[in-house]
Amino acid sequence: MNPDLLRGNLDLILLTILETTPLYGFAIIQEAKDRTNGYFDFKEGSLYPALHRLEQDGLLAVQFGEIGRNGKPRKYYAITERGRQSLDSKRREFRAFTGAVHQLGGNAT
Amino acid sequence: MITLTLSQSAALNAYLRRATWGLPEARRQDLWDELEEHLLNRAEQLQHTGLSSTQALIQAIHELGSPSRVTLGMAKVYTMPKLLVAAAALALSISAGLYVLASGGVVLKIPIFEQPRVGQLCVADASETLPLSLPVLSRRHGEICYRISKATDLTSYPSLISVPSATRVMQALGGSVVVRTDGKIELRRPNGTWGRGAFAFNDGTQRYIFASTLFEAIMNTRDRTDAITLSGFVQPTLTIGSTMIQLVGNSGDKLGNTIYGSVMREVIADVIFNNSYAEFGFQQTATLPRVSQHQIQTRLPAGEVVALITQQGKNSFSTDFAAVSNNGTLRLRATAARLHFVRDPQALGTVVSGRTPAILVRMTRVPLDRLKAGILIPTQLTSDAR
Repeated sequence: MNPDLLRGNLDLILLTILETTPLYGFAIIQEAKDRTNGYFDFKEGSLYPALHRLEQDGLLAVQFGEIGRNGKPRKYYAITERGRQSLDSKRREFRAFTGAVHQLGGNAT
Repeated sequence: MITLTLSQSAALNAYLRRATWGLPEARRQDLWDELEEHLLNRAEQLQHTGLSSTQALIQAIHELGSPSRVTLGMAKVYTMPKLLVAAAALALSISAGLYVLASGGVVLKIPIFEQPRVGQLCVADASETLPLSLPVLSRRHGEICYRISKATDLTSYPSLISVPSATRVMQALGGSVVVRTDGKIELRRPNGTWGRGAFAFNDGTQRYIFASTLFEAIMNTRDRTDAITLSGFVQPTLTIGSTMIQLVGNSGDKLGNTIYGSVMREVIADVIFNNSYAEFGFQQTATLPRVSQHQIQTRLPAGEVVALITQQGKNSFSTDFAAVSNNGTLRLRATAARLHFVRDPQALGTVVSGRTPAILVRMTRVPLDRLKAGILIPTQLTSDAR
């Protein structure tokens, strides 16, 4: 897929993945691939800055879980209430945008 | 918990060190642990596909991508001032070599042929030009053979590299070396051919070319998206994308003089003319009859290489370069006895209060197409010859 599309909608995608269950970084990438049959293939190095930014913005909260492969507790990201509100808002924006694109193309898909 | 070998651990740590560079300590440890966990998870997953543990770790590091992407992303998150973000970008380019190693890039050690074998060294089709200043033993059908004795003056004997070694380098960069029917050499890369008819020397066992020809071929046929950086003086290393080429010689500064001397045109083109097309001339100060010795104090670590440029005429320059010594001192030659150091190339032409303006440019660990970033001012703004 066009990496610009992924980059431009990264927050929406991450918040959606974390909407139902907290996950750690590696699992987020796996989940994105699994749920889209490999369509969302993250440039992994850009994932962690995005997760930290969403945490700083209060849209995600950190929880530490079981011990990982490196012998330290895994860092899980969970969506916050503010994150859910932001997700709703981003979804509306995205629907409005894709709707407008469809209208431009005469509803062609 | 996964146990790593020493080399795996070194590669992992090198990557993590760069990816977490410049973050506050608590954040740094947090991100370090997070990325380490990611890499070990991915490496374990890759091992299930049949990769060895080392291959799997290298692949996992490769997939995570350039550590600079992570660091700069994090720098923005933690609201570092823009200046610090820029500094982070420069520091990351400086340690690019580490990433080459950590990401499993190609590392080539190329021996340089510097001590001539006693006997003769012949070069084909040199009827018009004598490529070496050595005693001629014979001339026949355009071939010149030089006498190589124990007393051969090494200073008139440029560094040579064997054609098989040059071929290894060019192949690692996606190119090739072609020996023509007339005995001369061409070095080819996807972006062009260099050295059409470069001299090839033959000592009876194999062919050699000037080490500078190889280096010029790399510089002039490069893919502009690949940053090239130099490091080291006695044994210079070129880092080109994910390929690291270590030139291994044993004759002190000679190899450094060859390599850094051959990049001097690039330095002037970039620093003075912003890489735009310009006709200019330059001379290495060391070749001029009357020169002044300057001792310049810097804060650079030992071994970094710095060039000094002064202007001689409208588009004419003189240059020298040297490696920084252990106490940060540079010993450089200039045509003027009194210098003052400037950052702005436009200021080079104007002598102020009897002092000739000079620019110092760090040549090592700065991408060769962004050498302006290497312009530096030493601890004293002026220098008087010693």
